[in-house]
Amino acid sequence: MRFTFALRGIVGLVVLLVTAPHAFAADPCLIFVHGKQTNTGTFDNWSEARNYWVKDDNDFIKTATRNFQASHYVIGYNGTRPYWDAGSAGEVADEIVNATQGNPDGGGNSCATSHADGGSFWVIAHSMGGTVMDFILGNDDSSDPNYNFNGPYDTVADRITLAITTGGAHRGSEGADAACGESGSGSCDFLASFIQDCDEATSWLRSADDVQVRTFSSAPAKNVYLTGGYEAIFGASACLSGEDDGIVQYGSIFACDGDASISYDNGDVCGNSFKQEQSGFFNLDAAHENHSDERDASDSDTRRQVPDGIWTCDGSPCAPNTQVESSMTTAEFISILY
Amino acid sequence: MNNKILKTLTALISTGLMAPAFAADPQTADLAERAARDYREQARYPAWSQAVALGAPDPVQAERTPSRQTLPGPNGASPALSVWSSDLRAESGDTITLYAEMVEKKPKDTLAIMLSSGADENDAWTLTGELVGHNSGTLAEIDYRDDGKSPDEVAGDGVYTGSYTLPGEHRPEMGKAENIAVRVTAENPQAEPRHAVGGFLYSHPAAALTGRFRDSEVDGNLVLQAEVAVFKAARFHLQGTLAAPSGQSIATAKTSETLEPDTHWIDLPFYGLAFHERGLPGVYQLNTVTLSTTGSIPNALGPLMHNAHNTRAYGLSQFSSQPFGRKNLLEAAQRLEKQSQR
Repeated sequence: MRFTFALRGIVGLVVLLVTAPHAFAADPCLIFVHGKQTNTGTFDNWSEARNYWVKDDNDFIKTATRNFQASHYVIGYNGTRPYWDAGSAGEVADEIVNATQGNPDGGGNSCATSHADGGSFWVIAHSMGGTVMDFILGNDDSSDPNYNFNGPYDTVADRITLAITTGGAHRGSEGADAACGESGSGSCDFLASFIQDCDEATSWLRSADDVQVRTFSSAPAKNVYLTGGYEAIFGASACLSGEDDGIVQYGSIFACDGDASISYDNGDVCGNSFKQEQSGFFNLDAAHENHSDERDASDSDTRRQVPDGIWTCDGSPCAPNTQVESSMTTAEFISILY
Repeated sequence: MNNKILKTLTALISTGLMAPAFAADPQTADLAERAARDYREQARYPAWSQAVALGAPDPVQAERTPSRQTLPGPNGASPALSVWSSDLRAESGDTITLYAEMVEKKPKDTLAIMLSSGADENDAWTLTGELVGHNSGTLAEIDYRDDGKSPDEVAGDGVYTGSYTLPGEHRPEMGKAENIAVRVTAENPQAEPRHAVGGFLYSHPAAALTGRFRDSEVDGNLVLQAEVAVFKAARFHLQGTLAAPSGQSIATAKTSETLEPDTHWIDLPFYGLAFHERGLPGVYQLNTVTLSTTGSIPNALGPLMHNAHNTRAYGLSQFSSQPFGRKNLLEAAQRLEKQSQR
């Protein structure tokens, strides 16, 4: 985000004094990382990054923070660049460190308690934001292949507590394959137009092994918890394998090992022992939301348990595919996890 | 079509009619408590060496196993085209084998059923591929065959095969790699197309494993040393998996070093606790090992060596049975425990 720290400080102070609700120090600070972009708007203008999480009167951040009871910080980065680029992973790492120091984001929001004062930080990442976090958290140690590649990944990994991804493109997207593979006519083109074109970010979100984040990272240093949608986007979903949110298929949302194009559903998606890395990825649940709903809280719908998921029924893990909620957005779901 | 109808239709399709009934009063488990417990478990090992769970596959092998990329026809029509390659990476002069298969795909929505043309994976499909370098542009166009003639192995088995020998003139700079996209088109006699895209790395590592290894016990850990020939100064990443003679993976390790041109020995320590926990003394096998040149992306991956070395015999008492106590994970666990909601 192209803001000076001085300006951030002034904006932050004003916002804190005038408008900020009282954040509870015991709550984690939620740090939001958006997904792929077709322009640099969220990087150049913080308001665009903030609006990524809003649709009409629905505000994912407001809901996830329980009406701002928990503090938050919104990151904007260059979502047109590959997940490993300085404009993406580098910028995200810098901003996470800034957040953990208690400094404000471009809109003046800051974490209630800094890391030095004992704060806890949960990163909430959507879509490509998940891929960016995989790269950062998988290259935080000097033994990793791309240690601190273009930012303070080690500090990020030390300071954040965990990450939650919603519709994360951990194994890429078959939508990106369609966009970059000269897909034929029909609804796959609709899907390609949703992604728009095979730009650099899209090309690095293909399913091929030579661009996968796991090829260039180790297991994440902090746990990554996985949730995602199974509401189809009519037509586009036909091009994706198994359940999907219209852009990303389950094999990727749930960071599965093996072929990313295996057809999974809520009953059989990979559990915690068959992930893209040896450790660090854990299932939460699935929602009847599409790729947009997952980040704008506009569709309060059913939620279902997935294998090794977070929901318990009568004290034991609910069976996979059990409907656990009849009307709950992913934002509400996150708000009940802390 | 009305949005509400579409939504209902897709909901029915995606959830199925046989889903279990709504559960009584489901609750979420305490995520903070779960994460804290997991961090305490993970903290027993250092970031540079982890135990492999009993029965789990070799993680280094798993990340180097080529995966399939699969796309259906228009509107999700079956069959889908599935493509993969013989390796994730290849070097100048290597021949990479490229595979493709027409696979049945269950339609996911009514439009796919309505528009189905009756195309079948058993049709006489003609498959061609275009290899496109991220920097080099189009490198070649290839034909896939399923007639049992080289490089195809079995005639008529449905697996179409092509191959490509990487030319020297497009070799990446030493220490770097280039992404090569493999765009495959299949067409049946009715001229119905299918498209899919795979890929591999055209790699030019700046160092190579010489094949010489040695091992010793140091500070309660098993330290494997790998000899490397460095051709150009760069940062290098070495990783490997040790297994029991049965092939059962025990532990992985990784390390990175910046090295000047020369011959060097790189230490790859495996944390002692892993051998204790598995309770397996004796000779260990270096199941997989690989050296990559890093510093730029894509990394110039080196080849994966299998069964490269057998260690001398060790007794369990030679290894540390102490947990490592990774500080940042234990600290994160403490913070989570304070935050735990129940």
